[in-house]
Amino acid sequence: MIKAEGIGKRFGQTAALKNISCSIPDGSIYGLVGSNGAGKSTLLRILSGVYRPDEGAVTVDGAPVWENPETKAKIALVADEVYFPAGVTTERMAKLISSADPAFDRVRLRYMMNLLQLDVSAPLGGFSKGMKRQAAIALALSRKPKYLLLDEAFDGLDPVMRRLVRGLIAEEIMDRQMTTVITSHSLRELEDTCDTLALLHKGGLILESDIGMLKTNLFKIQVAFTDEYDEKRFEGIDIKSFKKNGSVATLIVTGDSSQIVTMIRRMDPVLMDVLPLSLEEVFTYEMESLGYSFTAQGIAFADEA
Amino acid sequence: MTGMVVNMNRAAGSLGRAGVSKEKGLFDRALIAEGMRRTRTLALIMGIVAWLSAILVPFMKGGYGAQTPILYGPFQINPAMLLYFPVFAPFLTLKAFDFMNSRAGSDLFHSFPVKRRTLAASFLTAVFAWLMIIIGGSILCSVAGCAMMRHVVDLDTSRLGIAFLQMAAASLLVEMSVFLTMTVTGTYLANIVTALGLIFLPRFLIWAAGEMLSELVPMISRQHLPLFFTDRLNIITGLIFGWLLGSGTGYLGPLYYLPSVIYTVLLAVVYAVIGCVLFVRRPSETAGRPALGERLQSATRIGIGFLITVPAAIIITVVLCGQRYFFSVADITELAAFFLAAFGAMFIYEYLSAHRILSWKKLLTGILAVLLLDVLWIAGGIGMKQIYSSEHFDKGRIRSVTFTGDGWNTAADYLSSVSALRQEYWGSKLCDVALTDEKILSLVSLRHEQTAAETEVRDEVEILGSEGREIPSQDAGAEQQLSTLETKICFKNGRTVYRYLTYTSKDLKEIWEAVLPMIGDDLKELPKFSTLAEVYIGDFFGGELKDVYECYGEELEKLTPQKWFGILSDPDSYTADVIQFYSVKDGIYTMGAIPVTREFPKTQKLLDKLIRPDGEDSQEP
Repeated sequence: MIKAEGIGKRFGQTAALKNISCSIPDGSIYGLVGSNGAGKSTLLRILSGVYRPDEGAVTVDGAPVWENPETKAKIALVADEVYFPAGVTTERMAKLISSADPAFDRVRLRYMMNLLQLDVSAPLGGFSKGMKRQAAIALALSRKPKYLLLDEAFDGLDPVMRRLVRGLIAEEIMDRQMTTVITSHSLRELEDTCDTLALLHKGGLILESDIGMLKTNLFKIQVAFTDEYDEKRFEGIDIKSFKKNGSVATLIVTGDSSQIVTMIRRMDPVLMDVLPLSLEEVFTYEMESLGYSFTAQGIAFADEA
Repeated sequence: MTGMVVNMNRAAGSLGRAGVSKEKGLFDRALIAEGMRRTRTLALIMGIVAWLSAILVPFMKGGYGAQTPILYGPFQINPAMLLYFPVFAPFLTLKAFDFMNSRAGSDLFHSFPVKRRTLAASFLTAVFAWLMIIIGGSILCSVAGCAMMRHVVDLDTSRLGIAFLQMAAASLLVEMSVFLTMTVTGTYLANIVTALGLIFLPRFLIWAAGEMLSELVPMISRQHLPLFFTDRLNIITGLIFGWLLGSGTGYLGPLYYLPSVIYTVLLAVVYAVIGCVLFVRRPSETAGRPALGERLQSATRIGIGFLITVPAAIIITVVLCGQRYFFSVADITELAAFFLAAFGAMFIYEYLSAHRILSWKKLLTGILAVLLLDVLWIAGGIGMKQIYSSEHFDKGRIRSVTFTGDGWNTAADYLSSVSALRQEYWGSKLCDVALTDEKILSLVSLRHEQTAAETEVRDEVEILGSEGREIPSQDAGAEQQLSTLETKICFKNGRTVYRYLTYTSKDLKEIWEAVLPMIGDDLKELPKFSTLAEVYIGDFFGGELKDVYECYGEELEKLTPQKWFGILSDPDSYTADVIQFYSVKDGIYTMGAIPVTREFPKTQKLLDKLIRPDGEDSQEP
């Protein structure tokens, strides 16, 4: 398990992270979402022992990460900005990583590179952005880490490659119970992948929840009645949002879905549909309930005064 | 998780980590090998250049057409070795640690499961290994080249070891200096500027302080400043300053001097330790920035500014202490130029390193800081002047005196200005004779008082330079021809000082009369031919003169010390053929001259055969 307690990090006068606490259980796929500059990359670097937090502590399986090779051996980070020394090939990178991590599996690397149709002997400098990212992920997976941290991992990958890379990661998760932390600024990208989501905003952890629970607890109901009605008709139901257009109302409610459906049925509506919410919608309403308002278009937040 | 599940061939590789890897010590072989791989291409290019030049130079030297082998020292036969530490070492280090100048690179390397100190120590070892291979290979190539040209080139193999150690030490120091500065800077420009500052600025300031002290207190022996001031210990600054500034013992001073190896290595170790500590603590996110923080950036800026204003501060100090008499508008302009250049340099450095225009507030703060440092420098100089000028050496406190200056050999010129580069061989024999004669101690005490007073009254005396000057002397009737000799004064409390004191001709005679019985036969001792760095007469040098030189030594043995002194101090001796030689003593080149007078008939015959084969008369008086 990765545990972060009270993490704070400053860059000069700017507080990149403020009092972040989270637990990432083994075997989970943890999604970290947030706008640009929210602190996602900084948090990943702290979790992987690259940055030292100014406050708080990070432990992995109970041991500190900072300057602890034994713990760092369990973690592989694929940064948002992939770096390869000038003129190196994947084979050369394998040697470099092997010198630091003897557990590096070169056979596995070759296999993955073949699968990705990438030449291990070709200079990485000649690869496209997406190809470099694929190579970086293959190199990280070849370390057989217990914890894989991916920072904007799928950025630059075409849909086919995205599925292929997801498949490689999925295999690792299923075979070795590898824990994965993925950051993104796109909820849609994480929706189908992660089982836990955390939301970072301006260095703070706003929300952290199991996705299933989020989606289960919150759902959309469209209802219509022949007579005039307003929100008061639905007293007793925990309503996050009530929007009425003509005789059709759209409710976002939280609670036990079957109970709520039964309650509304008793009101004898002419129309009642229970609709699934997208993760984006879930987040929207959760954020609103926390006092944040935002505009759609990816994710961009502005604190309410 | 949705998505395609890839049916991977599980036999392709083992799944799961094989187990936690063994913890690496401070030095890790795999990382050292990796460090050498990273720098391999650059090192091989440097090696090929070094080894080729080492092989070729003996052939070039042999092409001069000498008839007999000429003895060469390691640096004479392979001068390119002097480029290894200023060129090879810094570039190899920059290459090995180039990831420190890239944020993404820094993140990658710091994500590896190794302790940072292991990474640093291993990569440093890798760089040093390459440097040893290059230097060692270069020396072997020199030996091979000399062996192939042995009919005309003779290599002084006795100094190969010390030459190797010196270049290794110098390279090590440069490597650690560059590494240390890379831990606190994050761009190549800042790396280089700060490394140059670290290597040269402290020693430059010490050298400048020493020069200022010599200017303020001419009595102070520049060759024997306190240990900290000597520039023979740091190989790099000793060589560079000696070459560029003609300082101290000259550019060859630190060479073949074992204490310089020890000092340089110790300094390198200190830098290595500091560098490793800073490397561990260095925030990875500072890569790509010129300095770790604003304070360090400011310190670098102020350091650059102060460095440029030091000459101006020295001039001001000398003027304030009354040591400089001509100070005009042109001089004020010159001073202003230094300060303007300094402030401009600060501005330019900020722009080049941080890509920003220095704000007025920061510029003003920097200017004030520089001016404050200059004021402290000037105050320090004035303070030193006061201390030395108020010295009194009472005869009763002196235990012994030794005269370490040259000038004994050229009778026509009792005056000496001690050469920065060379000490006169015969005069150097005087360095071992400690005189305790009461008369001599009184003389030294008196001349110290008078020399000190003279420096205080310089503005009343026209300076005639080293050819002689008026001295308010108590010696009625004393000859006005004066000599300045470096005098080592040992006090009864254990303290030792060196001062340039002025003596009359009568003084010198008295001193020699006291010294001669104590030197005795040592005065006649010539250095062994095989230890000479150079020996020549006219167009003949090296091995060609071996027989002549050794014959001279044999004939010299038969003379008494008094007779020999008489030859050395007689101006007419030098109208004869004179053989000049250089030998190395304690890392300092000493020059000697041996006139082939009538007392050396066999030597004269051999010499005539060599240089006048057609039977011309010798120049013997």
